[in-house]
Amino acid sequence: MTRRKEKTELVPKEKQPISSQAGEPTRPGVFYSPAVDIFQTEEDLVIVADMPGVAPGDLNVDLEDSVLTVTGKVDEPDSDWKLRYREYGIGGYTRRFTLSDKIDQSGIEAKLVNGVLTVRLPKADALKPRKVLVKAA
Amino acid sequence: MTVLRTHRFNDIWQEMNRWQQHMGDLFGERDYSKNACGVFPPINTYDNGESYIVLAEIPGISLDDLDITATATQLTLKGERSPNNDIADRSYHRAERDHGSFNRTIDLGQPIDPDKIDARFENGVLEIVLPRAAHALPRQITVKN
Repeated sequence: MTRRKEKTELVPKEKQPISSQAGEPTRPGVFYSPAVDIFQTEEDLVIVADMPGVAPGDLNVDLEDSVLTVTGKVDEPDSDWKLRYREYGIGGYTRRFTLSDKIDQSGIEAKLVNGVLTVRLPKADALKPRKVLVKAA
Repeated sequence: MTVLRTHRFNDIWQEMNRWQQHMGDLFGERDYSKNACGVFPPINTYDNGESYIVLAEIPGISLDDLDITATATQLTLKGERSPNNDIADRSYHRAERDHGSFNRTIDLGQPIDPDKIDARFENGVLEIVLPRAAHALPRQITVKN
């Protein structure tokens, strides 16, 4: 896939709250689906998600039955602040990804920097290119 | 000169939407998210009596790429969100996150003190505290007998 040219004007998409039709909500409050990039390198599959407002301590990355769930909590601003104008909603983030068995599930790494989550999913050894050794007879 | 506002009644749905918006305005339920359409970064504005607070969601930007300027009544956010090109050889399955430059000016309505602005960037959210100008703060007036 070709990436958009650099230096283009940034035209964002609005955050979409997750509707209850996407499954019954199990937590109180509004949740948004974060915008994600998913790409492959030779070694890994990488998921990058925008989760502004989530502190590293409020992030949860769970893996259960090959389903990777990413959840982040966002604190409401100071209650003394009176809202004057609103363009974005404040709420948590959640999104699920189903992993294939081609992922080495024990080697998954996640980091959160400046509101951007990066999850690195190493490909299983069976999929990596390898050298075949020829044994002498 | 008289300014006439005419609404041609050519689409019933358009007309209904207009009324709905009017009613929303009356009851304070206006859908502000419409304001944000196509503008980056999305902002929320608060008032704590002494200052205006502007929050902007700009995840993944580096502070070197962000430029904040202010006058007594306007705040300008300029910057660029660059794609992460540290790994050259990658094939995308999904690309929802946008990259590019932005330049946005916010009218504050009331004068602020541009020398006392405080800004911090935490977890991808930019918080700018703009203290109101001393002469613009509400003050108590005592009535003399």
